[in-house]
Amino acid sequence: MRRTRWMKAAGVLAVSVGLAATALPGTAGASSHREAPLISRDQVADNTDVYVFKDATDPTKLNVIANYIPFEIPQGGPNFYGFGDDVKYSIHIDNNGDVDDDITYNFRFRTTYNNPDTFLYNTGVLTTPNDADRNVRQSYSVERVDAGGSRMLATDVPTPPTNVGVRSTPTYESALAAPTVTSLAGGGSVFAGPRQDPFFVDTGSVFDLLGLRPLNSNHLITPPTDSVGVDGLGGANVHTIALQLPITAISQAGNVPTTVDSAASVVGVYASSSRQRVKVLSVAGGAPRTSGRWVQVSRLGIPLVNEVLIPIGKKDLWNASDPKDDAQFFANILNPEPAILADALYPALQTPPQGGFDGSGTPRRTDIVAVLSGAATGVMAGFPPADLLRVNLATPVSSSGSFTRLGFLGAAGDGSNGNADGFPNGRRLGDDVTDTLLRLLVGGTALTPTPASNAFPNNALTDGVDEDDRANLGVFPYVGTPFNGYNQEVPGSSAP
Amino acid sequence: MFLVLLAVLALTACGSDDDTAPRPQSAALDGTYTPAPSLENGVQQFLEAEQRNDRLVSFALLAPSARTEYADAVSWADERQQTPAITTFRLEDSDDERQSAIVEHRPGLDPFVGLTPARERLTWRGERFEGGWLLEAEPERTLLLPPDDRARAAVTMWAEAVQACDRDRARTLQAVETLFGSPTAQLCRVPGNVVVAPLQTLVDGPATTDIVGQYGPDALSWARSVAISAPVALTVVVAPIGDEWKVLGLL
Repeated sequence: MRRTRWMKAAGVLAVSVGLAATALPGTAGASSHREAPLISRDQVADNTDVYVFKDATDPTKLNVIANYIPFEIPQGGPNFYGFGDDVKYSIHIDNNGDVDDDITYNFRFRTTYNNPDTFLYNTGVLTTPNDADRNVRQSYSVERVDAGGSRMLATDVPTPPTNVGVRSTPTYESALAAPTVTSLAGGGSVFAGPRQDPFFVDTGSVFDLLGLRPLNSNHLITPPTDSVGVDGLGGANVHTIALQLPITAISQAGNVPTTVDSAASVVGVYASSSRQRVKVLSVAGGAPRTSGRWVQVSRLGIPLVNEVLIPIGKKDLWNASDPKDDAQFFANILNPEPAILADALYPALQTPPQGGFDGSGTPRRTDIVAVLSGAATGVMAGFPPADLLRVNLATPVSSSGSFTRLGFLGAAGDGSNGNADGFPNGRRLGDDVTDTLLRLLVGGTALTPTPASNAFPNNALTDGVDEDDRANLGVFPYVGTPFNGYNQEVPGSSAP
Repeated sequence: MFLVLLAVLALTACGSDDDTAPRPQSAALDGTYTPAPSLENGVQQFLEAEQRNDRLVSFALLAPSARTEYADAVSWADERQQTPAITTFRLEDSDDERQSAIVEHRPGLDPFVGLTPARERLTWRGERFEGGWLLEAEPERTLLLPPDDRARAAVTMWAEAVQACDRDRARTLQAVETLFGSPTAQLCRVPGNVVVAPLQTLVDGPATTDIVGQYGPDALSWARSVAISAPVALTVVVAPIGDEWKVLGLL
């Protein structure tokens, strides 16, 4: 008996070595944290999440949030974390449904040192964003590019400092972060700087052979006892670029749309980062010299696509590609590897038949196509499928009392009383994209092509982490206050 | 179970019955050329099209050799959207194979485009094509900079403003809110006349890394340095913004 168990475990371990390299199934890795080989070695350019949602206070505005730099530990001194001065960060908007950029917001950052003769990040208590005691400063410029060309919207805007600790940054949010929210020329507001990472997922268990702690006893491999999920990003920070834009500045018709079933009411959003082609290192210890055309190195629209649906051999290509070229990846996306592996590791699951297209060329996974084509936004005709986070600007904002983390699936997960403005119609900070996509990929939603799979346990899959470990703000930029270094909160430290 | 997992992985690797999903349509006019009757006319048409943001027309004037860099009209348009807008232009007398134009822009300096000069000379080489002329994508650029003596005057005025601890006045003479390089506190309230040396080109090195990092290696061609010898020793970097020079940083 012991020998049989050992052989079984060894066999699975041998397989798992290969699996580990392929961003383990579970659909629930961190949204796009270190998801591809090259970007995993380029932290400052790593786009981790994108959120798009209408403002609850002013529904004539759209909030667009792009996060970068994954798994920041708050106590990462003496230099802490910052945007890359040699990176161009971008937010792209398609407002006419042709899967091409109509509007792009570009950001570039610049780091300066008040006193290069000290090692300290700050030389005293910081009471303002540009406090004289703030040694390491970062500022940025924003431009908008559209059919009319490019124009600067803001220059030399300060970022808040790192939330160093109780001595250095005692009144962080009110005194150091909030004052950096800046108005944009032409309308809207912008923020860029450190925030707490709002994504929530049990990375520790999910990457342990698709473990879902609440369903441990259903897994092929022990431990057999069910337990609560642990947020692997709990206590971690991130860097946020947030825009609050007048909808009239981005919609196709230049208005605030009111008709839900209208293509003109929908915009598609993705974020990216780019680096210049040439980098020359300095032999004198100076900063590298970069030049040449910009090359995209990271991009993200719908969460978890590159993370778990694109094989490792294509992940870097994905990051360098544009959404308009996503057809090259459909064979993988519409034949989701996580669903196939979930079938094996959770014998009780019955996922829809796999295989991207049937003999007539029709995609089998019409539920995945629905997400890619924006059908969930309420526009029946849909759009060309692509990895764009599409949001319907005419969809009313759900009241805070009716909010459900499962978005369109609804609180019960069966589509009843769902939030029409929840993921995948845009993405709000509290949307549980992990559980939503887990269920989608195993056919456990009303969108499934095989109704039989929309049943327990498929439609109840969960990683057990239902919300973030820190509340978001009630005002722009909405993403919560970053954890401070003094409190030494290590990501995922609350695991039993 | 091990065999089951292997079989599952094999199934994944094999993919579906039919992986040939339809590909998106390419942009219109990718293979179109519209050669101009003369090189001069080609440049005229090109600049007029760019002035009105008509990228399809300007793309169609590009020679085949230029298309290796820009595979289609969409990528051309994406690139051109980020180039400075043309306010006016004037063709110059040129020879059969090269055509120049003085092109004017709304001047500026930013980390996306770098320097947008008030005016520059662009010179295109043409290629014969089917009885007409097409253009190269990247013309030769010659920035038309403000006179050198304005740089020395600008540096003097700026230094005097800093000397008087007049930050607001100093900022109006700067190209950026926060200067590159070291702070200027040492000049505040220091007595004595400001003495400046002639303009020098910027030398590539560790001291200029930040400026080049923000604005690209081209910064070495348009930025200049002016040494102040009194009342303190400083080296000031200036940038041509429109018809004036403005302080960009300190070395």
